Amino acid sequence: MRKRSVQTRVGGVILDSPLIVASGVWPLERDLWPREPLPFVGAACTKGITLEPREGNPGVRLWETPAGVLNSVGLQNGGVRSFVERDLPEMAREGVPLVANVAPLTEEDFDPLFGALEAGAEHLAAVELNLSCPNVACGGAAWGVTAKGVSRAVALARSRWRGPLWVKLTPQAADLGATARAAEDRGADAVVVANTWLGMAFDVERHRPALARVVGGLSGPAIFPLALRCVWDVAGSVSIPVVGCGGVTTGNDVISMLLAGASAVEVGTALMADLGAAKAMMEAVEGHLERFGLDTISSLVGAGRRA
Amino acid sequence: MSRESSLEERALVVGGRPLIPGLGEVILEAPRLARELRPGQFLMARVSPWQDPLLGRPLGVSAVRGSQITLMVAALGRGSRALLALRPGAEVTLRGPLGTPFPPPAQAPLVLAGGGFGVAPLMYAWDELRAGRGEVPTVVLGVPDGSWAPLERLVAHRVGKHLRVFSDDGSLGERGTPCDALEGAGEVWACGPPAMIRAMARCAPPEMRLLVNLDQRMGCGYGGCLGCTVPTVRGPVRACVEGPFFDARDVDWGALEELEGRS
Ligand SMILES: Cc1cc2nc3c(=O)[nH]c(=O)nc-3n(C[C@H](O)[C@H](O)[C@H](O)COP(=O)(O)OP(=O)(O)OC[C@H]3O[C@@H](n4cnc5c(N)ncnc54)[C@H](O)[C@@H]3O)c2cc1C
Ligand SMILES: Cc1cc2nc3c(=O)[nH]c(=O)nc-3n(C[C@H](O)[C@H](O)[C@H](O)COP(=O)(O)O)c2cc1C
Ligand code: FES
Repeated sequence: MRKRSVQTRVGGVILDSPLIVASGVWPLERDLWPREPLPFVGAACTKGITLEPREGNPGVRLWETPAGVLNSVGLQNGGVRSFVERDLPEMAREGVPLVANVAPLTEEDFDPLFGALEAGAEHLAAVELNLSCPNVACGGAAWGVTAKGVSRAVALARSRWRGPLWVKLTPQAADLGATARAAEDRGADAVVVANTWLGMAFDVERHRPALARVVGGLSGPAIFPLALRCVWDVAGSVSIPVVGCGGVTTGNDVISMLLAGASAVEVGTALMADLGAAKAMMEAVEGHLERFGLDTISSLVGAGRRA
Repeated sequence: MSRESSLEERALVVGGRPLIPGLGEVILEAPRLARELRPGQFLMARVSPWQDPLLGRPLGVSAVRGSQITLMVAALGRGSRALLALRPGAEVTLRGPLGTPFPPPAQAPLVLAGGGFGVAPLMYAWDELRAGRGEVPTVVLGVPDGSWAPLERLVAHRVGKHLRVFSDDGSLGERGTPCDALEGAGEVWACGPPAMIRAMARCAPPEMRLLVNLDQRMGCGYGGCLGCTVPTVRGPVRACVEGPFFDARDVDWGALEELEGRS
């Protein structure tokens, strides 16, 4: 790997591969990292990091659905200080560019959260602001559901973080294009489109919702067409780079995301299911470049939008 | 520190057989796992090259012979049925070894207590313990009734006189449950359905080291997704990394009961 042909650029970061490990499927402890995907990914997003440690949600946290998974993990993590002091320096030794996925739960969280991250800035290629997380002050509605919420969150983050800032939008927004433009207006370097879709399942043996919180986030191949459509829409509404995320599983999915206008893709569930997926995807992408006589994947980005 | 080798490999089905309706063995040629997997650890098996079912299924290993491993699989849903339907020559993707191995026994005498097919990983542990220098542990098998006789014969064939069998209705072995074998034991490693595990935890005296399996639905198996956590006195802990076997004294049984939806 590490070929020029598959390099890409996302909001101030040069990646050796368009595949990025999505937040939530990769351990914070480097000694647990499976080796297989590493040579084929351009960066890895951490689990969602909050200001204070969180125990996450009780009850069943994962529920498999047709070609997908519902999750209700609830941002279990040891808090930003333990991340910066204990996990991050060790993770950085791997040499894979790291993107910190951060989840502020109140407006007051931004200052200390980004303040603590500053101490680890040398190890971070970018920060990814997770706007699917609940803003406690808004009755728990996600920051990302309205353009107003996005403006507020991105402005707060931008004033505290000088490095590359990626904003991960939620597909629960009524007008995703408007939230993407709000992120761009407030200084985001890239938007990640998107996150999981809210869904639910019943455990029919118990006559109860499968997840204690009733709803969970749906990921995996089942959501790919939905995510692709979001990328198509957003890439037409902003001029900053777009990272496609949601259900990317095969080489054709990667190529489709690029054609729709994404500069890179994040892959979560597909790696969780199959550690060989990153290699298979990149081999397929390279094969595609060869068949079409293309020198670099950048010639694919947005190519599907031209008349 | 980081992992040395890869975690996933294709394995070839080389044999298998039904034991009782809904339970069978699958034998796989898996040289790396056969070499690396320690008793108490597990693997995840993914049968379909397609995207549905999507996730691997966590399974224990009941025997390692040379480069081959044996799984004992209960037909519960699509993943396990697909695994049992495989014929020799079929390929499966295996992820592992996963989880923490059993610690060295601390308090003699050691009893390995299996409920139904929960005995599977304990048989592999028994093989390794017998090959070691310590005392040979007793295996206790608890089953509902005499229809489980083929499993009893399989275990008896492996462990011989070191086996004690209990059935709920007394139609196989002694009448009773694995709890009845706790007396006199210094340490117990138990693997079985949640009801049995809870009962064992209730009847174990506080000074006994009781290790129990707490099976959860799993996503990744390597500690990334935090989908498999179990409640402990130290907060939620991953069954796939710190488990799947836990010291019963560390488990938050009240919270676990809620999790299993029985409250
Ligand atoms: C560490 C570990 C070791 C295991 N070892 C073995 C083994 O050696 N042999 C064996 O037969 N099984 C074992 N299991 C259980 C096995 O993983 C599940 O039976 C299997 O995942 C079910 O998949 P399925 O597709 O057949 O069923 P599904 O269609 O997914 O589900 C069928 C039924 O099983 C229940 N179920 C699914 N997954 C689990 C789970 N992880 N825990 C509890 N209930 C579940 C569902 O609620 C449903 O009622 C183990 C589980 C763990 C976590
Ligand atoms: C178990 C699990 C945990 C996740 N945790 C986070 C998280 O902490 N922060 C975040 O922004 N996204 C999180 N996600 C969402 C993924 O990063 C990704 O956006 C989503 O799963 C869609 O991509 P996929 O279909 O490739 O998985 C999580 C997803 C899963 C399956
Ligand atoms: S199954 Fe993913 S952390 Fe345990």
